[in-house]
Amino acid sequence: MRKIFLPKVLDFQTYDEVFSEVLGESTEPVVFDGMGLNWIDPNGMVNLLAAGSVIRDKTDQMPSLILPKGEEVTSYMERMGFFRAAEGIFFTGSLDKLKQEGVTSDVLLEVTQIMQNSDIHKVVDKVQRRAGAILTNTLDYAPNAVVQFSVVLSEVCQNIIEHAESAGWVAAQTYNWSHRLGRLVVVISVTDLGVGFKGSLSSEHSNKFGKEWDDTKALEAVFVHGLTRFPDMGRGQGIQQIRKQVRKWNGMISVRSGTSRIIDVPHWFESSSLQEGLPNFPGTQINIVVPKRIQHEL
Amino acid sequence: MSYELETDHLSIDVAMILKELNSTPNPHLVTRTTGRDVRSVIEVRLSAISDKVISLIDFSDIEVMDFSCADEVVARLLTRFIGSDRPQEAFFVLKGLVPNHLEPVAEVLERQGILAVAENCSGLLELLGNSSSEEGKVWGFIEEKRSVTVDELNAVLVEKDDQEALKRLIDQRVVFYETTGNKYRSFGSVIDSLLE
Repeated sequence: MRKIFLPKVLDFQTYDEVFSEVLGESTEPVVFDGMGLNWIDPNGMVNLLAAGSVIRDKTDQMPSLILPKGEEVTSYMERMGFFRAAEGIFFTGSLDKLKQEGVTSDVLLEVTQIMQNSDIHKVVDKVQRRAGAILTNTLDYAPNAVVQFSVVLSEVCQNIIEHAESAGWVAAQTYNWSHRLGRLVVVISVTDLGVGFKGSLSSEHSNKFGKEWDDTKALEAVFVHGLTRFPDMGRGQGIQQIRKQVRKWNGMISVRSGTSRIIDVPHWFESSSLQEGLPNFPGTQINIVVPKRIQHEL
Repeated sequence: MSYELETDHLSIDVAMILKELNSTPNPHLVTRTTGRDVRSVIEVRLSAISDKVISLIDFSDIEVMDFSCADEVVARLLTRFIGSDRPQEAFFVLKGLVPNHLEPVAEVLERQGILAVAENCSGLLELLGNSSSEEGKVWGFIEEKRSVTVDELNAVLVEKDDQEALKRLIDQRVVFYETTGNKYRSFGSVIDSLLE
């Protein structure tokens, strides 16, 4: 039995550590040890599901998950719908009491599987009903921001259905990023275990790049140039429009596929805009962070 | 291009189509798949009318419209009926667009390089899409006059850019040349004639 230890903080900056262990050659059964976990965000949750799925498919059995010591983290994961989403991925025999229906009012969008078109409609409808108060009262955005927020969610979720050829997950929540930014943020995370950007674009665009065709070129093709595998005009706007909207909100968006990550880096975040040589992620991850609105920044 | 006033009109309530199509009905025009399905319904309804048709596409009850859906329901629909290979003579007025709809609609029209006409909340017609200042000026002039002869218009449009603007507006079917009387008709006057 192999143990994969989850870090203390599982978010978009630390799940690469988990994936570097997940991707090993070993096919022996796995236990994810989350005993030391004391903070997990939507990125952590959807990518923990992705990691569990990879292990399940590789070992032909569901991995186990040791829950965090702190009840607060477990309770939060439960409120975010993690344990319901984990059914069929993690061995959840001991988690049954946590798979409660219903969501408490502080959750913006619990972990939701995206498999088909109607799932996106449900996500948009849910967010339209819940996000208004959070975005306007808590984050000081204009009342119409909720529609823009829904549009962003719809476009990122469509990326799964249109390009990944596989199921994926989405989750969103607000946090106080006091240590990093000194203010509240909304985090939206989407991940899938599909063909990734390189896989999606290869048949249509790889010849143009020849030997240089790799994950980074594929990411740049989509993220910077708005290319898609579809030849008809009007396609490829999704990511471009999301970037435009996130920039208006002074937010950050990162897209990770294969071994590379590309980021629109706002002034409040320190990072290079391109990261290469990461552990291979068999799919695509999109992470959006939108900070509370501050008048002088707009 | 000539235009004769023998036309039917077809009102299309997009929210109603969504309701009929969607297994989980909600007022959100989101996803490319949904957009494609909605466009398909509109095209079927249009094709049932053998004569020329003015289609009033009403978005009043739509809450969220994303870019993919706007591309399918607005840009691709209109593009199909602008080109010379259009399946029938159809003209479109977009209604009930609120500011949150206008952003995706403007974006997809620009991307497809086409123009559209929308009725704003005051009942006035507006030109949408990426139009030049000359196109805006010529369109506004003809809309205000409603009908102008070729000679009248030539007296006003003295710049070469104005003539090019007029040509694009006609190509985009937002201004019409009427052979009878050798004049230009505004989009609004055509609609009004139809609704009389």
